[in-house]
Amino acid sequence: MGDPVAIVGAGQTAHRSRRLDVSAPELIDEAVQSALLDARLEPDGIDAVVVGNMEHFEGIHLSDLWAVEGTGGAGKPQLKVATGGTTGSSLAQAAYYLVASGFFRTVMAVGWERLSDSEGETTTGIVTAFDPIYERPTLAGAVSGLAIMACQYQTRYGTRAEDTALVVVQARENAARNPHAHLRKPVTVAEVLASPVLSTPIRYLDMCPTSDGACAVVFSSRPGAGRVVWVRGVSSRHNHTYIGDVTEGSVSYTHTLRLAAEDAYRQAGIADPRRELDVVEMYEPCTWAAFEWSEALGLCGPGEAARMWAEGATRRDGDIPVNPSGGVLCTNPIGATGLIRVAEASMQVRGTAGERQVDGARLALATGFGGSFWSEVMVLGAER
Amino acid sequence: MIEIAVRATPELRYRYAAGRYASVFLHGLRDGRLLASRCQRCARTLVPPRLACTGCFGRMDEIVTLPPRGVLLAFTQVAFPFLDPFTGIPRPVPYCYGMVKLEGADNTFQYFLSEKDPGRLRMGQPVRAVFREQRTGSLADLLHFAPAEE
Amino acid sequence: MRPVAIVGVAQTRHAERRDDVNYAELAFEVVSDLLARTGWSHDRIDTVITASSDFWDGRTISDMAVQDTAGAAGKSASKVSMDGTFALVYAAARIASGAYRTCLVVAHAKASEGHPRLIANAAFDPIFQRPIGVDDHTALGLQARAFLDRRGLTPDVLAGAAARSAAASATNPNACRRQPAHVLVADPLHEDEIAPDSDGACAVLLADAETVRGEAVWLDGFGFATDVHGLGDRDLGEPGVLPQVAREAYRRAGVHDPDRELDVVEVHDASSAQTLLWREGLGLSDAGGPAWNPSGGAMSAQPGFATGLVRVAEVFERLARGEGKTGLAHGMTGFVGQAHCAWILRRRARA
Repeated sequence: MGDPVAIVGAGQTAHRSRRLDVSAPELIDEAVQSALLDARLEPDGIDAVVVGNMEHFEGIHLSDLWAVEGTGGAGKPQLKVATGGTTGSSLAQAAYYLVASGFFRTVMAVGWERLSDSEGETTTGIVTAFDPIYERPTLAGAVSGLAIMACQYQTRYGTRAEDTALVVVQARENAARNPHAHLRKPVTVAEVLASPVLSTPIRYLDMCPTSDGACAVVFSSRPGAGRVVWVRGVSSRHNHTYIGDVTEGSVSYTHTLRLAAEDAYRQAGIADPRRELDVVEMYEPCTWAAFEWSEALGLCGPGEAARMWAEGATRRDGDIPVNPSGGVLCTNPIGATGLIRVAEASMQVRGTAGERQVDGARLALATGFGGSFWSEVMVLGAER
Repeated sequence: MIEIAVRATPELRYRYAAGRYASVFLHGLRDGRLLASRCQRCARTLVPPRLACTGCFGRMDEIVTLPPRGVLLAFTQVAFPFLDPFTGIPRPVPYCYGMVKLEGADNTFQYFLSEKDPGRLRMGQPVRAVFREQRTGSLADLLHFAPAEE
Repeated sequence: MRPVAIVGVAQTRHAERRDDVNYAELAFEVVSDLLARTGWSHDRIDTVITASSDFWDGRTISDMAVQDTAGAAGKSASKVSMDGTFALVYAAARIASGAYRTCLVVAHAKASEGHPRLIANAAFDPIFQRPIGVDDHTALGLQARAFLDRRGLTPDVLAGAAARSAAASATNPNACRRQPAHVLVADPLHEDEIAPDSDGACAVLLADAETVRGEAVWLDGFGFATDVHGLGDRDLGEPGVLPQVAREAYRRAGVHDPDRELDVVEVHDASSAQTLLWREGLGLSDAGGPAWNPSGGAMSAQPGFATGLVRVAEVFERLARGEGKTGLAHGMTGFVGQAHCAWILRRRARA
């Protein structure tokens, strides 16, 4: 299917709630320089750049054109792809296709978000993603949309707050080993249960943060020597815009992730994801989503996610490590988040994940999630 | 070194065209009715009405009136204050909203619920639409969905 | 590049204001039109790439609603936040990668729902440029003055270019009809020398070499690039990255003598100065050569990010009608040509 494409380098910034020490182009430059170093490339070695950022949150229209000094895109072909939460994963996909098509040899994907520039809140911005007449009056951003989904899951399986709390407890443990992660301090189940309810049943500590940060990943059809990771499967599906259209009786909200995963597994020749995948970097905007996504990805059966997490199967030393980076629950610079999943998954297969390395990882999965239940899946492997 | 921050408040006002279909729906609310569109090709009935059938990609040409009743398929109580982009001020909380499967519709309708305590709501609960006395042709003409006594 | 053909195109009758539809319905209109013209059902479309601006739509991730009405639910889709010509690159890449056989590209904009001048101001550097009140029109004024200065020309050449654009627009059934006044807007540009903001949409259907039989219009080459941002960091009186972009498109398409080989050219000219400056940037001589903006170019209608895709549609239609074999379609993103994209289209038998 076109030219085989490899990831030859990745870089990211130290993600924090506020990076007031740098301007946006400087923040981006940090990630870009780090990726070039990792890929052992000079800026000249990049043929094209794909960038992503949700400009509405930052109050800068055409933010990609303004940030061109930091992305290395000045004088080069630069495309901007921005799809909400899935921006980062969409960037990775666009970079992949630009190389697989034979149009370019080496393409860098760069995603960033600098929410500290805007004094508004993410929820405010996310509410504007939805219909101004029908949905905005009721919707409370991503939180309430996810809460509606969690309400159905909870009713179906009787899941308790203690069950989902394990997801963030484990995420923070993993993030402690990741110098780039934003939230690295441990939390306990009791602390999660004591945190205020945002939108039933989701609590404050069940939700991901918002962070300032950037990430860059280099895709190429001509990888040099050294350990390389190949893109083995790429897919994307999304559902209707109006949330009411997504529920038709008992249709699951995770329908799109399930379909996208099936497509990517088929491309990669994966028959049993639980057994064959060595590590999963999933885009979990809240703890409840981690359960739903695990089931949609086929890592366990319906309603079994709580048990899988409680048994420790998803720990870094478990049989299906999930988010050894700490995941989205610990780091969320929106335009970069989906790309960080790809970066982290690629580092696992290349053996460059430092203290958060899963031993012997050769097949990894990275997912992206966003509005209209947009689901993107990328499979990365050591074999071509 | 002292870091400088420049304050700017871009005020971007928008004039969203409702379009013909939303206008029909809003006029219906003013008349105390809930309207849906039906697809000529696949017979899917969707509320609020819209031009494009999100199922088969046909044109939805028929407008039908739905009974003001349905069942609750999901709900949540929003409890955290956030800046409402519509009003520019924090939205008053707590409030509950849910996804209502109206009788005769193939999708669900997202709207406010009268009940503020989620502990008193349940999946599959029958609800009925409550309209305001004074109506002007806006979504707010619909006050909320309240539990229906069977 | 691997063969990618255009199966069909459609565009709306661009207007100053379309209150009868919201932006998603506008996209549905143009996609339905495209499917009717080509006789295709939406099931045959494997993937969708859309082009739009969240700021213009007043809605973050505004593409979600368009993808719904473009029939993309349940399919793989993505969105380029740039002019439709750039989205076309991504679309062509999806097909050339072999992953998809067919792809729909849809671009839309509704200038009437927001305030394009205020939105444009929001694109400039918040520390150094926004505070002086610069927007796209004032930037165009700066460019026009710089252009006249560099070439030693007087402003009447702008009026001349505007008159030629207006004459061509009069023959274009999709032009956004308006009565611009000869009133100074941003010195030296008058209202009739600046492209009119419009509500409009455009859709293009692409397919691979196995799907298309016989003679078709092929996407034979492209080039695109982004210049530096600051208005003071580049010489606005010069064509910027356009020559480099054109050279790349000519190289990929095997065009050696554009004056002789191109039969029709459609450029996005946001002002009458650009009508002249972009011609230079494409390496075309002053007179003769290809038919130049026969639709009236952007001076006939400027529906935001759909403007460049409309140029592709205009070139396609002329080539498909037999009015020439080779054409160039151009689009931009950003102001005073910060980013350019050029496509070479050719009508020929399958390679």
